Amino acid sequence: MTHVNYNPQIQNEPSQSLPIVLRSNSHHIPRQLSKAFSDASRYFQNRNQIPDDIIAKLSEFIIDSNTFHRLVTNKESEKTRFVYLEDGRIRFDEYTQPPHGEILTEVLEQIAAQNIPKIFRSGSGNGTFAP
Amino acid sequence: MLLNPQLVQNPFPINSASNRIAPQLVFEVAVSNESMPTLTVTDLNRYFGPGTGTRAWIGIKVFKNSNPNGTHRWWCGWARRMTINGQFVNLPDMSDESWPIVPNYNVDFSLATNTVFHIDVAPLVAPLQAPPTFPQTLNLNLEQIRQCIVEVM
Repeated sequence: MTHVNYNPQIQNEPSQSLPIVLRSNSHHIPRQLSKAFSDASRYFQNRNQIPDDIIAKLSEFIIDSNTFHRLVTNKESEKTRFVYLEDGRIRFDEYTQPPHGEILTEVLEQIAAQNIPKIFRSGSGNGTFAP
Repeated sequence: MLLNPQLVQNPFPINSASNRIAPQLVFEVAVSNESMPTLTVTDLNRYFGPGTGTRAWIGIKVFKNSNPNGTHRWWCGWARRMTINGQFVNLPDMSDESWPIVPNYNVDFSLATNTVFHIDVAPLVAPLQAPPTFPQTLNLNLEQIRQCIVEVM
């Protein structure tokens, strides 16, 4: 039933040039990477669109999870929980703000209470609420 | 139950990505991201676009005021898939129960509402039929939603 539209706020485009690949045994985080990540985070945390040139700089790097975790030191904080690593590239995804989940839950509960006998089933994303 | 929906009018589209029946009732909440034009025009038309199985859409937009003492506002609406001569077409038909779409000054979140959406079940399940004991409409009480979330605003 629920189809939470989870449009990415930011579409990271791959850089046109060859990426710089960082491996976990390289303890040094290039300044260009840390600066690009810091700049992107600042826009993201202020809920502003990240400029294309910063995205392009970030996309120049392919990193592993160790490097990612060194960059994103507190993965569970509210400001970083929608920053993730996908195929070696840092992605910034949409912030969902309260009461997003509260509304979703209440609508689900109201419809579920009427779904007797149960002919609909709920889903999320590409899920279904189908007879 | 009809055995072969493909032979009848208004069959259920199959989501080619999942190989499952595409969703009939979809629900979108926008708090800080989608604007009203995005929610009620761009996204809405996509939900009812070609290949989708959407029969009804519910949309709720919350305008949070960054000022803790400011006025929060919201908008609620729902739309059904338009039919022409009994055939579903790829367009939304906004329900009259939806709140007016205005450029600003949407409904104050602190005000109680008596709006209840009544979403017809028959179009959701067509070309099948719901069991006789199943309600004819799925009702969505917006005041219940408001009361539930006003505490976290």
